[in-house]
Amino acid sequence: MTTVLLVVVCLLAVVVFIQIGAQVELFEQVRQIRSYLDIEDKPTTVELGTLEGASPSRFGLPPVLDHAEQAMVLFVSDKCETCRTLVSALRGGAVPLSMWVVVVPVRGDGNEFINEFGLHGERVILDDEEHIVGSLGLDLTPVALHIAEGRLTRAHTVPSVRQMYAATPVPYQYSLARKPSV
Amino acid sequence: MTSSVAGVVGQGALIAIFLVAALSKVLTNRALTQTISKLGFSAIARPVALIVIGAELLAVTAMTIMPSATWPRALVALLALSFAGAGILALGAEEKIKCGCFGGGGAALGWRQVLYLPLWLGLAAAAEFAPPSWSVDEGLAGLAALLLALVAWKLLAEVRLWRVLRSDRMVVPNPTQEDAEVPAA
Repeated sequence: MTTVLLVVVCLLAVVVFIQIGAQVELFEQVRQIRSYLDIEDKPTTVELGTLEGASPSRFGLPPVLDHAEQAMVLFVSDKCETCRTLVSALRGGAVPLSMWVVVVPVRGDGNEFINEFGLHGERVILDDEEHIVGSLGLDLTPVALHIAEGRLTRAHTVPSVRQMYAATPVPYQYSLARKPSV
Repeated sequence: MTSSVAGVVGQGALIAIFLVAALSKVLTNRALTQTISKLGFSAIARPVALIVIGAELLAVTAMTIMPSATWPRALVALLALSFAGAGILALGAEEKIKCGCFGGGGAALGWRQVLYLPLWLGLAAAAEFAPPSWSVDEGLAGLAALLLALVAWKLLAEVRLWRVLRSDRMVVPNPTQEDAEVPAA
């Protein structure tokens, strides 16, 4: 009986080893494919320097953010392609909770950009004359600026839609029936 | 070290090494087939690859449940000689040939296999001069423990890779913290 049991354990262990080994091979291939296609998706930190801990309203952001427990401000311009991709996901004002969008009109009229993607809502701000980004000293987009307890905490680039949602302080779920309200 | 301990250590080492080699080759048997093809045996590469894997598994099983039998150690010696022969053939090849000895990895076939030959033969000789005398159940228990350790090792590798891939995955979480919403001004 013991012998049979040990044989069964050995055979099962071999099967599990091969199964896990096959999965490892698969994971390796996925990693190689991502690396080859250059679709590795990692945000880069943007140093806030002396701005860390400052009130958002100091830079022209809505005063309500000074009292926000958790919030994220996404800076997008009408020039960069990644911004267009991100904003496409927010089409129709599907802006996640606790997320604010600042549109920086680099190429001209920001309203055209807002209309193109239907970005109408209270949490979408048009940064006319680049007042906000100018005060922050921000010269790249798309960038996510995080706010905690009414203070600027950190910032990073947003290379993809996936990272945009990952950076959202209040997670939400896509729903075909009910888009989140603005 | 007594001669019987030397036999147990020698045979145990052979079992562990050939088990890892055989299981790794099972996972990457196409790489082994390519290696054999590049050595000039493309017509019979596939059956030879299967024979090598089968012979390694047979040697491991036989050394485990028949510790005092000579033929499993002779089989190991034969395999070691063929690996060394493959290494010598690879040295004469124009391009580097991937070993595939332990599955993946980029190590080339060559002097390493020749240099390993005395080690395999030494271990087999040590076991032959003082054959281990464990029972079938003891042998199987040891093999099961070894296999479970290999499963754990593979699982760790999988978890490491999984973590990397998971951090690079589409994230659309659930709305669970509505109270954290910032009201619009």
